[in-house]
Amino acid sequence: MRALVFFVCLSLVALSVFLGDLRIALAFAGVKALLVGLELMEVRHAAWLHLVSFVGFVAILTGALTLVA
Amino acid sequence: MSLLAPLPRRASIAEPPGGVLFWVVVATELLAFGVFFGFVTFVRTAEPAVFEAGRALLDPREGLALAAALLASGWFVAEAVHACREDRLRKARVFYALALAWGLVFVGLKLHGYAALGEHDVHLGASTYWDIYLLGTGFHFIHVLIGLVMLARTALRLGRRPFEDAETAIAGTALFWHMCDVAWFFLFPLLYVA
Repeated sequence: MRALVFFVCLSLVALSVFLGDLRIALAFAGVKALLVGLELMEVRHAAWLHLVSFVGFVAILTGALTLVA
Repeated sequence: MSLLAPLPRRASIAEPPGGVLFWVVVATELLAFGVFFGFVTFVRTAEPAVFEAGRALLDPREGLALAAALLASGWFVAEAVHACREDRLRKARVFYALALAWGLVFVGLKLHGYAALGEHDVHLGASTYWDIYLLGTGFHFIHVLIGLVMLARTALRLGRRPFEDAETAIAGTALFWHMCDVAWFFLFPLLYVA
């Protein structure tokens, strides 16, 4: 699973460069942050409050940046 | 008894994976980075020509290489923490060595990038873009250096001297390192992508 997160994130970074669109790249950044947070930072094992706070923060940050960009 | 307790299916609020101390640090840092990203996005929208002129000097492949190095390092750190949870310290040391090596690749690439920009007379005050670029990547770079020192210290101590709080020392420092990853995920498109 950790290896899969690495390869998915690497693919998304490469795709961001290839597509060259800021909004898509920011949306990908949010997906990567969630993947790294949930799996590598072990947030998926955290208490519900911490899990929801992390996912909420990333979603709000990504949404706000994508809207303003 | 394992060096690190195996992860429960659902941790308690008082004991998050990685320990409370590093979660407070990571949350504070991510909030600070988040405010900075908002500021960059706003300025980028307000001054598109300045951003475009600055960005033209950067190669997106450099940003891609930097992201790949950090991602590889973060993956190996996660594997090292997992090995510690299974009490496989030799395996953990190998993963820490790989993580540190990829972290040093990031440092080398970034220093090379800064040197190349120096040849184009890029400096603080040159333009809004370069102020944001140098402050943003510089702030991130300092975090990477701190993270590398913490990881090296943890790796050297592993199996030699006992940790007072192994969860914080091992999984906590890994959290800090992944935070550098997460911050770069957003810095990269804002500074390198059109």
